[in-house]
Amino acid sequence: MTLTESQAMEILAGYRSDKYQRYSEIEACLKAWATLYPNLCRLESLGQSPEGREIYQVTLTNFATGEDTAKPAYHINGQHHAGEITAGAVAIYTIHYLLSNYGTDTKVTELLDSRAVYVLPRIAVDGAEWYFDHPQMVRSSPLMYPYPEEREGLKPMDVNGDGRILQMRIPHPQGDWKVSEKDPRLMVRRKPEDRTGPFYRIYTEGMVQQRTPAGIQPSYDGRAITGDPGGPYARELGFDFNRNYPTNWKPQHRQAGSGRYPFDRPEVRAMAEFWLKHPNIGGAMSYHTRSGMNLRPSPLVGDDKMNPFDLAMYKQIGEVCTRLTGYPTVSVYEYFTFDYDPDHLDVGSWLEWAYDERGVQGFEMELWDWPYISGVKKRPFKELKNLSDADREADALLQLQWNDKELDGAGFINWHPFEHPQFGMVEIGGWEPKYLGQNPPEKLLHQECHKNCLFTIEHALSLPLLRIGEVRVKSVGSGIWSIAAQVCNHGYLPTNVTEVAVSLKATKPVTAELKSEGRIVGAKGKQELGQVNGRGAGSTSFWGSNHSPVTEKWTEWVVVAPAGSSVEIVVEHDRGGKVSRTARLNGVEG
Amino acid sequence: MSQLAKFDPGRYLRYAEMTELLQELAAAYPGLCTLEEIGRSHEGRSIWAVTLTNAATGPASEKPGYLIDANTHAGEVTGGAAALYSVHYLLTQYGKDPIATEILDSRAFYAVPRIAVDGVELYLTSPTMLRSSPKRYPLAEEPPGFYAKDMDGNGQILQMRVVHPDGDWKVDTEDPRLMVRRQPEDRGPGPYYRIFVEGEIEGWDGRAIPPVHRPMGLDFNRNYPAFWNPEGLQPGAGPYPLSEPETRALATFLMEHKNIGAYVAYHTSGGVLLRPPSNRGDDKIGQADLEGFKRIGEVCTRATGYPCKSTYDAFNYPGQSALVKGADDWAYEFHGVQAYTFELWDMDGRAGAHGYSQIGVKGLIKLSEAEVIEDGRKLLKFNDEALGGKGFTNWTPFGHPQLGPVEIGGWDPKFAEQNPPEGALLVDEVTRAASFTFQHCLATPRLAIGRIEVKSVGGGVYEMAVEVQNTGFLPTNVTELAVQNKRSTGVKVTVEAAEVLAHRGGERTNGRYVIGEIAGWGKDAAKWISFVVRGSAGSKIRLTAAHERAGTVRHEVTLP
Repeated sequence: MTLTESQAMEILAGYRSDKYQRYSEIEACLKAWATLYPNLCRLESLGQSPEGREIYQVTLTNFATGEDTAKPAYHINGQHHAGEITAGAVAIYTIHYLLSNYGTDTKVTELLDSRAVYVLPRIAVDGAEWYFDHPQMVRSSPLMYPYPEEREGLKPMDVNGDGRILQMRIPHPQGDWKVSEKDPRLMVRRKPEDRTGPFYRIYTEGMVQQRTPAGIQPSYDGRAITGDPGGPYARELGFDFNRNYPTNWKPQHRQAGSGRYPFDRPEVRAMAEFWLKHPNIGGAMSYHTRSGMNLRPSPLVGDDKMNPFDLAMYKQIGEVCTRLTGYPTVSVYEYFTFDYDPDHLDVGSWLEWAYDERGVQGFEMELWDWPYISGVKKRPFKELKNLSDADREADALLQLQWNDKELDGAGFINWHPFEHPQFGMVEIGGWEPKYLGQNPPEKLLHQECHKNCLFTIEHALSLPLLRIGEVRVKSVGSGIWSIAAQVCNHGYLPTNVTEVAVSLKATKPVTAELKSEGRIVGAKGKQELGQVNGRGAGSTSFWGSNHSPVTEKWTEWVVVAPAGSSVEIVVEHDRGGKVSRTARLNGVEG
Repeated sequence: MSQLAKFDPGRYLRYAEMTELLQELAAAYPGLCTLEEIGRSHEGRSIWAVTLTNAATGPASEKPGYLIDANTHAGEVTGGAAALYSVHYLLTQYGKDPIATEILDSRAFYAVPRIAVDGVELYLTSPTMLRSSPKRYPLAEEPPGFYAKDMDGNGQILQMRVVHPDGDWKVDTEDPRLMVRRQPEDRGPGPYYRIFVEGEIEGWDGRAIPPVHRPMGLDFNRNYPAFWNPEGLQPGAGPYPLSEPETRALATFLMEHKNIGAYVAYHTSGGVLLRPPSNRGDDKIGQADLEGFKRIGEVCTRATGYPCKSTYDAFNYPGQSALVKGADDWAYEFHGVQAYTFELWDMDGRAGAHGYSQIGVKGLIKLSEAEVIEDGRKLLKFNDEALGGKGFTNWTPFGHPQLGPVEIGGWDPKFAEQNPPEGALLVDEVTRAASFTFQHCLATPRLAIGRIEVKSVGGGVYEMAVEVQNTGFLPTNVTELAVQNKRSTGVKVTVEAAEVLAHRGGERTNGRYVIGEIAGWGKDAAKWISFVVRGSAGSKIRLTAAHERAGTVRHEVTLP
């Protein structure tokens, strides 16, 4: 279906950065942008999901200044995880922002003139639709995994029909929870010395299912309530796209959600195939929720085992992120790891694949941190484990206060009695899981979109950018010419972006080629120049950093050609772009 | 006027002045000071060692020894000044100041005030910056490249800034003298700058500016055998351990003076007392030695205000292979000497800025750009207020013969960054330095013979019990590594002029009774040994207790 300009304009007039979009809305917007901005935006589908939805991606660049493949490129993707719909919203907003500000905002204009930006707003297209349509949570895909059918036990269900799955509390003399003395909404852990009730057991809102002759269905024998997955996730929908990458991949029993084999998910594989065909991608951002932290490598080792140059560059760009978003940039291993048992580290993630396998400077932004905006301190995960019950209670109180003040209390559904068909009288209540716990309420969505968009613009503009500087042509004899060319990198990052990219052979050396109708003497027409530093190289050494890095290289040829003829110099690098310059052979004999 | 008469602790002395001063001190205090040449430098200068002790209370070799040295690194001239001040103070204050008197009466205080004699001379007489020696190293010839040079003839090698669209520096918004890093998102019109060391390019082809080549790359403090690594792994290492006459002279001196149990090498800068180990954390060092290092480190902090850190803690940071250091590591790891490197002069700390002495390099690299800029402003304020503006030269236009118009300016690398300027600030540093090392010297072990109980058992046979004490803070072995490395072999007691029939306590070897090591201050600071001897009433028995590091003490016992 092709759109007319007026249809496209009408669609885009309805775009709002404070609304979550369904698949059809995203599809309409993307088509409208491609229709209205043909010189800046192209839409393609990288493949189809198991339920037949397209994996849409747009290419944003000023095609008048060159094809995307001849430019250094930045990749933005969102929603490896279906329920993290903020991620898709930020990616969509970025497309909107770049297209509507091209030509007026100097940074946006520079970005689209000099670089290419690929945006894949929603990977888990099937899961996201399911998330909108069901009260349950879903990790990546609505497909049954790892088990092909439902299991016995407590299944998260919206038993009271309010559209949410919250928690159920049931009084019990051996309950392990009690009501906080500071706020009756808040449940706190019963201490060993607490002997006067009431005490409660807490379950995910749901129904017990059992195997019956008619199959698995709600049925309860009145005995123990088992199979509570301990959280609101539907344990049947266990695919995790962010564990399906081949780097350090482990099977399901060692890494939950990993899939049957690396890249067995068509959505993930579609994006990976695109990357492999686009070695111009040097920087990338993958959006997730929730923590309010910008994650960087390594997920598996401490900073002392990182490549020092790459670590320094990650820190420099990471500081840009902190300045623009307020979110700190932290190592997954140092900050975002609960369990340091090497067998329990999360593996097979996009971040590992992007950096450890492709040598791309990728970040994983965990958007949205409502405990933090409520005043709760950000803590490394290893510290969270050690919080006392009193600390946890204090943190929860801050969140309740923020909820009362900013959301008029709507984020916490107070405990209310409900006659449960299986358990009798229970109380249902708790935090809104989807539009507070996992994603911001829509009124707070725009700020999340905007500040993160600004960071990715800076990150993309820090990518290398090759240009031919000075060209010196000198006659060194009758019809013999010496041609010297300066190859400059105007970017912050080096042409290789990361040092591991070089050792992985994920990027090639810069080449400079002289094309002439004449005869090139001595050196080859096409020369390899290695990599060219960016201006950030000087910030990597701690001692003696007062000698600025060389961010240009020179190369030269001797050519036998008639005076007045032209030569073309072509400089090229996967990640630095391709540029050429024509020079006329004339000048005095030197 | 003689050097001695005009001695000023706030001045940096040239080699000839230092030599005269030492010779005059040796001549003026013959009973307290001996001067010797312990080696000759690459360029043929004498490397001096002085031994300070009161000869009347015994020869130096029979006293616990303590060593200070300075100027392993040529440019760290504060250290040399501190060493000369210490020597001068001990000699001139002997008999007046109780600490100086106790040091010279009870200990042997050794000082090698200038190791890099050639390098210091070049440093003090030219704009050249160098690490240790003017010798060309690792390359004998100078390849094409960028060389530091005083281009504008002001006597200093500063920095050059050149406007460039891809520059990685910009001017601070508050203090226009301060250059701050251009951040990745700084994309405005600039101006941006590239910064280079003041200098010029050998073989300039008008193209890219090459990296700096430092022709005098030898680092004496990477030339010691402990953890030595070749040049490719450890720049400055030299062709093999102790390859240089200067380092070998110092090493030989330390090895030949087995009484040296503790040692401080003076360096700059930072304001921190560094201790071994340099290549591993504190969990991988003997815990008794660690305790000793820390207790003495606290003495330093009380005396000087400078903290004590392990070299590993101070310098190690993620991504850096562990620093391999020099003389102090070798002295500790090979000889079990309680050795420190004392980094004098803390301009950062005086200015209120962050320095590695407080937060380590791993703390410095975590500073945000805003903190780095704030530190830069504080340092310039310190320059204006405390250095009278002499530490920083404002950016001044200069027509560079190769690069065209540049501006030259920046911090005085020698007498602001690396050392205090001459005068009151230098005096303050050298007196601080000595206030610690004098206490450290007096913390070394020292043997004494305590109670002696003699009882006749009849027939010319006597029972004699002797208490051997350690009156020093540190144990006789000083460190556990000294025992492991056989540098400390226990206290030996000898009994002369009497026939020993039996003994209790200690082991008899070669006519001596070895009673092991004696702890420092505390309930275990003494050991008893008893003998059954045959002698005649009224005769004198000569008792000797000796230890490599704790001295030799003698006592005569008259049999009742």
